[in-house]
Amino acid sequence: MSFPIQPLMHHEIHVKHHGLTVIENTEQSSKFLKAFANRLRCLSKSSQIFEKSADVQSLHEQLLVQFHIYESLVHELGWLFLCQTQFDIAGSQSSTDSEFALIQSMKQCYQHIHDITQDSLQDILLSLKGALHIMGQYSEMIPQRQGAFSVKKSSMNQRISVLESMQEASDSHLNQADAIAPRVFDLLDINPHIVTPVQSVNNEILVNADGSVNLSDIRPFIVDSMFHADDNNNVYLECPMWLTECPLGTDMAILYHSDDVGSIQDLFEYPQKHHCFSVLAAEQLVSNGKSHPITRGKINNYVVVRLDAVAKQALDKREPRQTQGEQFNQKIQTILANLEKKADDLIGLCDDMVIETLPLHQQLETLVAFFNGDIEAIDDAMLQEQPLQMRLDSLKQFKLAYEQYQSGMFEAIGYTESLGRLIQSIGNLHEEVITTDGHVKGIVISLHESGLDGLSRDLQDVLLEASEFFPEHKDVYGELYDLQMMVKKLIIQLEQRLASYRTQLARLLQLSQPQELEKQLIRDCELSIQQLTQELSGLSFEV
Amino acid sequence: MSYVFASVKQGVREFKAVLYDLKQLRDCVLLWVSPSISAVVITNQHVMKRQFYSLKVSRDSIVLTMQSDYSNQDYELDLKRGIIKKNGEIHSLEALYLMSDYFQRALADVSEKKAQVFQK
Repeated sequence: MSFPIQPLMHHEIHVKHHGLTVIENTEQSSKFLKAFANRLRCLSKSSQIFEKSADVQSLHEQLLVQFHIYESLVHELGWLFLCQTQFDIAGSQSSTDSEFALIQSMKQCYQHIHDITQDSLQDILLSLKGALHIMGQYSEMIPQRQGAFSVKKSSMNQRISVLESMQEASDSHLNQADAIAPRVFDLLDINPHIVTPVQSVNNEILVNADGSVNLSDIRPFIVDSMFHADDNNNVYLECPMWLTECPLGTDMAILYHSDDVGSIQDLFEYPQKHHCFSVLAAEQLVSNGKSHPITRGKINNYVVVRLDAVAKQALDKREPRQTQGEQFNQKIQTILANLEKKADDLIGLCDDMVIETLPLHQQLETLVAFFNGDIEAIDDAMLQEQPLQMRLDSLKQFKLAYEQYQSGMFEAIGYTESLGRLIQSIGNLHEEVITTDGHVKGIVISLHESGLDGLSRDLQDVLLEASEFFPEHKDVYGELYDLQMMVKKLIIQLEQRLASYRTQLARLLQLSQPQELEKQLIRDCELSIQQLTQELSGLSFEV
Repeated sequence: MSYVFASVKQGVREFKAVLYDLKQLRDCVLLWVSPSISAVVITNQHVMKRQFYSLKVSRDSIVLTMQSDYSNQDYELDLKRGIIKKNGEIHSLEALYLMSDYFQRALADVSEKKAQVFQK
């Protein structure tokens, strides 16, 4: 058995410190420490969740109640133990005594190894990869959806505002439009110059002494597409008529008709938004009696808007949400890429393992088949009991052949090739098991080293956080979460299968010690022959 | 009644998750460390330093020792039974979080050569 952290050899010992040996070559130990730290982190996290869970508190209370009930029942049910007869105990023991421990264990080991080789670890790993691939596709949907979602939302709002302004749409129409909208391809979706209505206004609009208003007060009422940022991230507003850039600190103007609005404050009412024009352009339009360049409405006046510092903040405010979304997506993609890489590495390892376990599998197959008295026919049904006479013949033949093998006369006698292979394989079994065990252990260590479960847990955390941050994408995150749970289950399944494989190999290793095996086999064969002879004589006596 | 069953089920699921993680932790030691080594120790103890921490990982437990001029504290996690102790007495999960934090710190210290890894 080889462990990554072994006792240091004499030449590796560099320093002795308070009776402790310093590990100078930390390559292996640091891998262990990382794997250990990762698992410790997982444990503390799950313990934290467990402790904070309301369900656990409820469970605790329920358990206390159950324990209380159980305690009161214990004395009342105690007398039942007196009813258990000696006959029952003897009966159950006799059934186990009839089995031969060694052959039974070998059969069990064979069955496990057979099952695992049939299923193969690759199946699980490929399923894992498939799940990760689907997760990747789902996570790619979110940024696309994010863009489409915001545009769709604005187009919907614009449609509502248009309908309202025209006073043609009834409530039923609006509902119908709402219901149909997500299913219909909307040309407005691809229009970047959409005017969305005002969402909410908290501040009261104050008019300056000179009759102008500050942009900071009326920011929600200005069309978003007017705001631009240059290479240095300086925000400016662009006049849609002359295309002049108006940086912060300058003035712009909003056009209106004095008949439509009673005061400046009335201009900024839900849900209408306004375009700003350069003051010169506004002056010209009003003096020439032109209509509004965008809405084609009548105008006869304008209000000056002072561009103060808030415009930049307003633009920046929209960014963190997008950035956050990108960050989440990037995190998910990174973890998924890592998981896929680790799964690929493990698939490579498992390929080798199947090759390594194949000889052992075949040898065990031959051995078990022979004990069942049918060395040639090997199939899934061979673990079933064979006729007694057949088994007896096989065991007698094996005993004789083994004695000849020990005395060195096996070759000269000319036994069948299959029996020869079997006798040979008995000697090689131990080495085969050691080799296979080493390989399986390598895979288990690689699995630990890869930290698949830690990564999957990180993914779970990111998904939960992201779904809280973007409730509108909860359905996609929900799917991702389900897939993540599937990945987690597959990882656990992989670990369990490897663990069961290792347990069986360890048992086989213990059994297949060359001397022990020979002694045990001979002892079992003798016992088997004796028992079968007795049974046969009993049967012939009855006949 | 169904609510009770649902909560019990959820609680059991969470408890299983904790047990699974504890098993993972123990498996990690059993897999990596040869039985002939009684413990792997990480410490930033130095002759000139009177304040230090020491993390001892053995096949049965993790022990975090923190020592300064004024205090000496031992935290222990039994890897077989999952019992957490502080100075020999059963303690809350805080000790586990502390151990986890110190392990992360120890990892960083080892990579920066501020701490050393020993084996017993």
